[in-house]
Amino acid sequence: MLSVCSQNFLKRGKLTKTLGILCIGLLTLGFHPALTATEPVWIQADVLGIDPSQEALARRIMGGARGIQTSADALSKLKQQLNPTVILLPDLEAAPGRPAVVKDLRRCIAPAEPTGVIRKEAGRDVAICYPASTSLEDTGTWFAAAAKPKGTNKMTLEWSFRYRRADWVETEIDVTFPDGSVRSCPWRTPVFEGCVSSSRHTLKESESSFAFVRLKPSVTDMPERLFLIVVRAE
Amino acid sequence: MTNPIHFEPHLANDPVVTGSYDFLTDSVFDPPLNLTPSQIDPHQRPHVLVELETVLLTAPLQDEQSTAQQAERMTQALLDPAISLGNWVSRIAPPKILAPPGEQAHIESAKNVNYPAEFQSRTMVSPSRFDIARNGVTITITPLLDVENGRIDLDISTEILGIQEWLNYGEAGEGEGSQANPGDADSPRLAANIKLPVFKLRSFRSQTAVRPNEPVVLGSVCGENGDEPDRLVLLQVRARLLDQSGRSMSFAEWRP
Repeated sequence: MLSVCSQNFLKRGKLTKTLGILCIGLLTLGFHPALTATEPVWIQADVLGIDPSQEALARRIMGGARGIQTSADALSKLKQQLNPTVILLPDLEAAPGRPAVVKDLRRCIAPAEPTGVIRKEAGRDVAICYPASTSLEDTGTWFAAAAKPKGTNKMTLEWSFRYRRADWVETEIDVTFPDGSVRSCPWRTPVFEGCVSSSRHTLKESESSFAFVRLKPSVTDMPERLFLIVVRAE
Repeated sequence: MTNPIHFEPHLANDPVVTGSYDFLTDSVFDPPLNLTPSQIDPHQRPHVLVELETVLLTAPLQDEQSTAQQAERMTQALLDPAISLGNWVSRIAPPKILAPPGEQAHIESAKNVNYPAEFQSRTMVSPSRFDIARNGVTITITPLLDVENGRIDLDISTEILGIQEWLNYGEAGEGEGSQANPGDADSPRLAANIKLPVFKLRSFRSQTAVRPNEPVVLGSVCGENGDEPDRLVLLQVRARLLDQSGRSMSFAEWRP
């Protein structure tokens, strides 16, 4: 988790309540500041991986209408009952209306443009396949959020979650060789799939915005995944 | 070999240097910027620079203490230099850097990793073009002045890039080709030995506000269950106002 400790705000007693684990021990007397148009907004996101077969139960626990949750009780109940995996995302601080962003990525150099060459080896032709070019591919988690005070004790919260994963597939592909022949070559390449979810809600101070996102494998046999994203701002 | 340079902003008789500082080359990337009123917000007075002092601590998560305890200990060490943490913590304290309000300050502590991006073959497969990954830490800070409230708004991006592993994309087919296609029995097919890096990229962007000369500490741990043990990262930023001669100034002095 990420948190922000601002010593100057600490001295002035203006630090928002419970800014996270890093401030434990430093903060004991925090309190809610009034929402203003200029103070940075603290945004906290919980991303949970839930067994897809438990979706109905998870939705029942979360309840709520229009993806708005009115208390943290449902989330803690869900954590207790469903034992979800947790994708740790830092808490974020952002100026009103401007996004805070976190990325936790695995960046691979994926082979592209399969090409072939024939080489003499021990008196016989050997066909060699190689990628003429590569591309930079990211997998992992992206999260961006922005919040803007709207009237007294209300704020508009807008967030976007993106998850992308890769499966390395070993296959045979056809490659045209310099002599014009087409031969199949062994090829190892990543296949990508992902999901995106975004939400925009006007929330009261104690409310959070949530969404269920399902990632169904379409190309590979990677397992289906179900995410619950819960976002709140102060 | 690179020659370390002393990079301090208090150069009363020298031109004030702003821009990016790169640990790898020990060079200042951008030419000095001459502040003119047109380059900053009209409501801001000219001839003010923001001096940014950053300290970055990174450490593997310790088994014997909770993340919160470890974070607290590291945070205390950031705020009190007398506290020693030992060699399990990596500390990067870049030189102070200057940025005009609204301009990006860019600090890198990284080493270049060349990796093959294109391949060609005449008799053997070899890389024909390399790309460069800057393996390490990049911090980008954009300060803005909030004169009304007497504070400096900071847009802070931290990017940490490291090599996680090398994948050999060519190893899948070695020795299997001739069996898969009996018609080509005399021409076994091989994929070349093509090792490419997989990077781990962590990037955070937050925006916060500070009073001049008072520090803010940001920290993070992220990852998913089952990942390798992660690192805790703490970044301390301190910002203050300087006039064109490098003298520290307050918002009060700066007001008309």
